Amino acid sequence: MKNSLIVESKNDKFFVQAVIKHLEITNTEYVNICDENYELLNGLSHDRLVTVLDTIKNKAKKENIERIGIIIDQDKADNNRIDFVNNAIKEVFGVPQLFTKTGEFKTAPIDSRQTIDIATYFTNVNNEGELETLLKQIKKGDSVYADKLACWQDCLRMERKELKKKDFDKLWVQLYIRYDQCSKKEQKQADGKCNFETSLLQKDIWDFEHECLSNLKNFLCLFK
Amino acid sequence: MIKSISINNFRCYGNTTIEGFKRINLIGGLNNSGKTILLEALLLSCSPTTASISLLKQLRDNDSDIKELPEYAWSSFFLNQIIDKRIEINTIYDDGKSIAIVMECNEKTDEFEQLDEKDLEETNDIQTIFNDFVIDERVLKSVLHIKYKNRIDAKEIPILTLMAHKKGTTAKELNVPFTFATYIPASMKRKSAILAREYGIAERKGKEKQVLEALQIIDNNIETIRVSVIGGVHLEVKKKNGSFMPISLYGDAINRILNMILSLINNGKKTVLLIDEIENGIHYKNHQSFWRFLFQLASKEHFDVQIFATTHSIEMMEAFVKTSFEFPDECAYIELYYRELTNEIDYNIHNMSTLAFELSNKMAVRGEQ
Repeated sequence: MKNSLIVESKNDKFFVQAVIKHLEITNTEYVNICDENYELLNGLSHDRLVTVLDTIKNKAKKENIERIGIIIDQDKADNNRIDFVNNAIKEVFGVPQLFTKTGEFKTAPIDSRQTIDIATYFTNVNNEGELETLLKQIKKGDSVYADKLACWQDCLRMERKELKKKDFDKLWVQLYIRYDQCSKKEQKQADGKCNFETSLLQKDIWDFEHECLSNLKNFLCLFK
Repeated sequence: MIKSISINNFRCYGNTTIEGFKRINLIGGLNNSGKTILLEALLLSCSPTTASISLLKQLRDNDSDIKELPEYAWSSFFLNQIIDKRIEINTIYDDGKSIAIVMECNEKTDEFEQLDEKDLEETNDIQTIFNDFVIDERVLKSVLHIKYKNRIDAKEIPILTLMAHKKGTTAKELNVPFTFATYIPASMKRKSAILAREYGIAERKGKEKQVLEALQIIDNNIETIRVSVIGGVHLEVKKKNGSFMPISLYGDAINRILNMILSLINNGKKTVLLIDEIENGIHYKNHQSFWRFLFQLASKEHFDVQIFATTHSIEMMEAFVKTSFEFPDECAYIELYYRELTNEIDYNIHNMSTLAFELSNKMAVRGEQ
């Protein structure tokens, strides 16, 4: 059975690959998503999601793809991500209001002879946030350097300036990966040794058993 | 304009319907995915004539088998060369008009038994053949019947009957007002005398400037074109600071471009131009200018021609996509491939935004997986 997984960016892809790797090692759950099955949005917008779904629809007929997963960030709690996904699916597959909730397959037609199952999940911590919000929750090692960012935020507030939570979390993760979890030698080759891919797939600095990953794991297990 | 085509039992097509054609259609796919045969089906649907059948036999280099093996002369048109099941090609136009062509192959010679006195008077051969072959059933022959199927009552009207026998072919053809289509094959060069005649027609229409502009896309040093009669009628071209030279001394691209542009200009409005491997001979730097020129000339405001072209070239596709944004909703890219689920040739129509994204991400868009 061939699957296709849509994620927002390369970093999201590395994260999902890391979770799948963990599932395979600890739970012996084989999730059928290979490296070439990922489709990157490279920026979240309605038009981009429509384009990527359209390319998968074209591929589905040639390669007999049977299932699509869509993983995007919830971001703000009041974002209506269900409608966002449904509008894109309606434009590509002609089916209105396909989803009412996440984490389950719904069927859409490719043409008169073929259908495809689609499921969606929104990355979140307590119904808001994005990948970096999640990573901050599941960090495993010391985060002395990264945690001091809170002091910097306090200093900024005294000057009536503030970093948005989204940007704060991104910076926190970067500091954690580079300064808290890379050796001095690795920091000299930061581009290659202190990046998302290396930290997620080659280092043991994240707690993939954390309870906030359980919904995502259940979602990924749909693609066994 | 043709909006869709259904092809049944023709060459490699078992049962395929392709919908969504626009004014300019680019067709891609792997080798043997049915690109050229799609053009052939469109040709026969638009121009079901003796000339079309002869051209297709000649291009496949199997016109010699007519005399040697007349009983197999037409089998190559049929899926798996099985002539028991007939061919049907059905095209639907944007005004709702539907044209269905049916092709059958057997030994029935009814149409020739109805030869009138005029037929018999004009050609002694027909009289001889009629006496020798139509009556004598021992002689090997096969007859290709092409019929027009009326969409209202499904009545089938013979429009072309071709009998292959040891002396060649005999045709009985009705003069019907089908849309005229021109087919430009991948590798065939048009004879200079024919191009000269066509250029003369374009000149008569006052369109010689467009012909020159087309050649200047691939070589902006070309200044003038003229017809010469010395040593036989042919076309000559003069470059800056040069002298007039026959086009046969230039590269193949000159011949192809002239063939395309003269067909576009001279064939009349609402005709169809079929071009196989459109990129042949055209340098990749000239692709976008060439497409822009074709789009402009083919438009409703100019010559009102529908174009179907095949390609293997990614560069030609990229130029096609870039040009398409200047002419919204005027073009389509059709990707042909073999679909395992149905065991048939199938297609994807890519809209231009999606195709631009696919090309920029180096995705598979030419039939590959």
